[in-house]
Amino acid sequence: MKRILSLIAASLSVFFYIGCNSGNQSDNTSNSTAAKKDSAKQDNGIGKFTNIRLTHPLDDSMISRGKLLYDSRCISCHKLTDEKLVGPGWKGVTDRRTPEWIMNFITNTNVMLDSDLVAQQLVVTCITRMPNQNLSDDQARAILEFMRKNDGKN
Amino acid sequence: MSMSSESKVQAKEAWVAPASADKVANPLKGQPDAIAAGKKLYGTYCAVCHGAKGKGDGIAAAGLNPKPADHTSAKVQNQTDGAIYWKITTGRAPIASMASYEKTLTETQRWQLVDFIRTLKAK
Repeated sequence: MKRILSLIAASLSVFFYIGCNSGNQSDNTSNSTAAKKDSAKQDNGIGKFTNIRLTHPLDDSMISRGKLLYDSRCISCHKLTDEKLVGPGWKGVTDRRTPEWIMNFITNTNVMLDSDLVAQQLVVTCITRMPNQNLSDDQARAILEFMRKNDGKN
Repeated sequence: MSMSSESKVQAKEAWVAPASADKVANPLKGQPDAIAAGKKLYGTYCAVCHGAKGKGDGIAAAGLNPKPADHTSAKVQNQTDGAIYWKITTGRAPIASMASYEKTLTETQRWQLVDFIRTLKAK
């Protein structure tokens, strides 16, 4: 049941936002599951992260480690603006995805790409499967903190 | 889920830069410092798909169709500097994953990449 709920949530998110659209493409995703939206408020993706506790203010040490990782692993495909390069730009990603979805996607990439509806949709719009970067949980968390910083969170 | 059939057909066609691109001269042709800078940029922006040695075998390559170009190949190396520069600049989206680096990289950086790609030619 939990899985079904997450699929519903995922398809809803697809309906509301396709991250990789370059702006002039229209979103023609079916809205067949929208009627069930009350049953799924949060999309955590698929993986072990189900409850990330964000801390305030942001953690500077994590941000700087996240920036280093971004510069070496992510920058080739992801811009910090909302512009698509190979993958979606990161601006606003912490608003359109939950922290759990982001962490699961970074650390459980292949499973998410195979089974998570939002991730699958991104494969279609970006024509690319994000490669698994083999990042640790700590590294993924540092990247999430860097994303929060990029989105002006505190 | 997959690409639309129309995109698939387009993806199979050769990607050819316009003739006008061939006429654009490389202002940094063969300059050692440009090659060194290009090597660094290549590692950052290109290697994930094209591979560190340019064989089209980067870690992201497995999931791509069409496959990333093999920069060591005659098919790539026989193109003019201007054509390669044009491809880096415009990309091939949405037919292929190759992005446009017009806004991400400066003109100088794109020519530096062209210089480095020349060094990848299969011996």
